[in-house]
Amino acid sequence: MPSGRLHLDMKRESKSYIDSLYAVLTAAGLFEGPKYRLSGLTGMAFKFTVHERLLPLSVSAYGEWINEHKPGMDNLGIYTVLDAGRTRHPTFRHYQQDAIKWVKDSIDKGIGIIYWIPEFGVIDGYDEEDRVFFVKDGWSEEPHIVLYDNLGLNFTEFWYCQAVGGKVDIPRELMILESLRLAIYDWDTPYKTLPNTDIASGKLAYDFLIQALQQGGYDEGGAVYILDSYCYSREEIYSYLQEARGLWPEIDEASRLYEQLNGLLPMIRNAMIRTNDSRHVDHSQADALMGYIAAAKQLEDQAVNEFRQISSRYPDPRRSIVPRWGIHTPK
Amino acid sequence: MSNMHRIGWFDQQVRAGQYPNSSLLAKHFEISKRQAARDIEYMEMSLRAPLKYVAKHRGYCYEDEAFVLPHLYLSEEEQKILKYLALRYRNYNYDNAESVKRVADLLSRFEAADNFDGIKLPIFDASPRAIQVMELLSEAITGQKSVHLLYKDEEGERQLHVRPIRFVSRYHADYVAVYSEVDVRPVLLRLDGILQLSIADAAFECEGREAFNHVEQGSKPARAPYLAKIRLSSPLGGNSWRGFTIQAREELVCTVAFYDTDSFLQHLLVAEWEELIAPSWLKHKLHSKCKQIEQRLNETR
Repeated sequence: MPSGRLHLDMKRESKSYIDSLYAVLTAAGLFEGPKYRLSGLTGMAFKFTVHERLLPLSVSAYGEWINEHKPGMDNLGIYTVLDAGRTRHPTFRHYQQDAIKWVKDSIDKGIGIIYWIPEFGVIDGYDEEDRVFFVKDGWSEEPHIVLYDNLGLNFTEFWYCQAVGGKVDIPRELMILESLRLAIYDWDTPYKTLPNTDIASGKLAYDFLIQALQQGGYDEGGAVYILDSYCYSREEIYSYLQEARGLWPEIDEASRLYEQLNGLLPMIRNAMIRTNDSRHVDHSQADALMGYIAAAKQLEDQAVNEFRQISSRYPDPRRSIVPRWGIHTPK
Repeated sequence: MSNMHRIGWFDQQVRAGQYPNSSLLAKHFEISKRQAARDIEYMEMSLRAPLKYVAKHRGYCYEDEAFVLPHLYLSEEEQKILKYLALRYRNYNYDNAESVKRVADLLSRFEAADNFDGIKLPIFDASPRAIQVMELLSEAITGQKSVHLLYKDEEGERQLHVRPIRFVSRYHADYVAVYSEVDVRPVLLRLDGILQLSIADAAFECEGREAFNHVEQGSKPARAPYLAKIRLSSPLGGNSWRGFTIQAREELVCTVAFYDTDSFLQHLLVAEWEELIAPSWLKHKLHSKCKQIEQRLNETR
């Protein structure tokens, strides 16, 4: 009976999608370099979404995943095939059976699969005899065991599987320019999961965060997770922009603004304390925390304005040409 | 009977020496003080509770501690209703039928012991024809019989000879899935479209027909359990191995279903078994778990 194990090295640090993608791409030789670079080039580092009650799902609910992940993959120049949807759809079983085949094919080729556990993880092996996939979540070395028949089934309503293939080389400057444009889009779009308006993105996400901290009654664990993820991604952005310094004068200025923003992060982290084995926001520091977040919002807004200046100097066919089927992806 | 739960609570409070009064009862159940006073009066007058008001504590106590509240009893009419409901629930054949049938078992405990025959059923707000149709169809499904029915839909009225498979609830309407004499695939008929129905004497063959794979609208497919093949040291009675369902067995080799790996691993650590035949990932997990324990033992030695 055929079986395969790739033993991918996945570690949870950034957003779960980036951690998974990084594990898959580096093992397949499709990406070299630090994780923050991948996070920056795909635009994932710039994604920031907050649920009005600070639920932990905020961190991965940054939009319709296909629409969010595909532009990032396109920017890397990496071929990708992905399938996702809601498991309640009557056709789910057909897509699932098909996915079982292509997931195994990809592992046979030595390339892992990005998979929604939840959150995102990697499928790095299968055993045909037991009819199971081995899934890593990045937290533990022990793999999750997913039966073929349970592929895609989890406690959320969604399933997601993504495979990667070949690669084309895109000039570094173009990649960085496109990533800045993705950042602008994320900053300006208030809601990514319409018609629901309980999760805000970009600039509005800051307001949701401050509002929830002000009103109280939010999810304590979620607040810590959002702030941790926020701090990590701002560090990623800073490292990413530092590398890009010298390309345009505005990027130096944006990098300086993010450096200033990074100066606020230790204070934000200090506003979270540990009691009885769980971390939560220190309520006595809530006012100060809201102040830091408001200051960070100002700085990030200025930085995005720098990105806008860079973007306006170059043509943007991807956004200025409306294809004949309209701006929406055909559904 | 609706005040029995309040009276039960009041009785408990009295016994606990809390000296409850009508205000406390009213507050606890969010009822009016007058209603609460009536409840206490009912206890005193109808249930003959030896209640005594103690002014010092502004509440009641029992003069005679030996008093017990009379058991709840059901009137004959209520028993009939419960019996009918038990019957309806037992014949329920939709999704989650298992749990609904457990409700039927529960209800049947309250049934009177006498025979159901000859009791006039209470009237419910449901079309008697629909109930009758369901009753006959349930019988046909369990007895694997076919039925003749007069069916009406937008295409008009027609006479059909079909074999019912199961009831289906979809888009807020009730359907029955049937095999017709000609089609290979099962079709759905609306229950309220069935005008007349009678059970046929002979059923037609349904061999080789497509199975009725019903996908619930708006519900996720159920997760399949993990299966472990295990050789036991002694044969087991029943269909479960200390709570884990046995799906198949061949002498001492059992296929056991489980959903949570950790609880099953724990079970394997304490239960008696001879050989873990499959799956290999489970063997591996058990192995590494045992290794960890061994390591810990060695460290603490």
